Amino acid sequence: MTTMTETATTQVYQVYIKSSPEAIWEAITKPEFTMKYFHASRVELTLVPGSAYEGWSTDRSMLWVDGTVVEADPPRRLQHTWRALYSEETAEEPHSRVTWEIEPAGEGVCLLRVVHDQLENSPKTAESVSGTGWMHVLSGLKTLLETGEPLGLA
Amino acid sequence: MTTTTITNATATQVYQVFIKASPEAIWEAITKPEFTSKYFHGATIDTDRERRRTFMRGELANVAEVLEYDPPRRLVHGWNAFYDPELAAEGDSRVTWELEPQEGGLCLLTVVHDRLEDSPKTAASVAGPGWMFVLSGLKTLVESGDAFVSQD
Repeated sequence: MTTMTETATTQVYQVYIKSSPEAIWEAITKPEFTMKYFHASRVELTLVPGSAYEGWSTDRSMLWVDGTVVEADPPRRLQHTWRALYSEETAEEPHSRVTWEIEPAGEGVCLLRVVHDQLENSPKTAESVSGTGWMHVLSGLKTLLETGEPLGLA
Repeated sequence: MTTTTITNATATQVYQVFIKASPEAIWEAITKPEFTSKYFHGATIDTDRERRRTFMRGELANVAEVLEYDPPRRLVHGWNAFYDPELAAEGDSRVTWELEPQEGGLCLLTVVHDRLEDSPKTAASVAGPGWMFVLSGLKTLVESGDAFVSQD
């Protein structure tokens, strides 16, 4: 399918969602929403740069993702670092970076762009989020916001 | 330090989206004109085993060759950016649609747009938001029954 022999160190994903920027922002930053599309994780963060961005297991017993908020500009842009603790291999790699950008695109639709970069020294992370990785999450986010129901991906 | 970047505007582009629908329903939406007009920039597109015909405002605008037709799994056809003379002059590329059922009544749709080596302007015009606008509209239509945005 793809001719890339090396996983990209800057990955860009886009999806158009029939929802408001505010609703998309909520869905990205509140655990009651992330649980329904982000691999059942509870994402917790405050909007203060330097504070923690954390992805907890559903029962809040395990920290699956850790990072730091770099920039928070609701409902337009959120940037944070990222390290996947759920796998031993990726837990050993340095943090990478994720940027979420929400742009109104007319007629009640927004373009959500996710850039996952700073992956030069995190090849296992790059591989694990590439391909269907991010699109699994973004597909679930879109279905949740548009239909009110989870997509139902594991 | 070397950095590889997927700019999306490459000669082989891959887009994937998970859709809460059967492969059969998605296949219909891809190949039947009553559906395509609701997400494919207002174009009425009729695809059969041999040809993919695109109508704009009732007039036949383009005919592309269908290279593989295996419902509801795989469709491969030629592509030309006929809607823009500058892009159209670059020549033909190829689009592959692959539908893979997933657990829970879901489907993974993968679109590969390739053979764009000699068509850099076409590649840039369909890249990233280009294809994702169409696939996002397709997903919304199949899951909600609604057109995404007005297709004027």
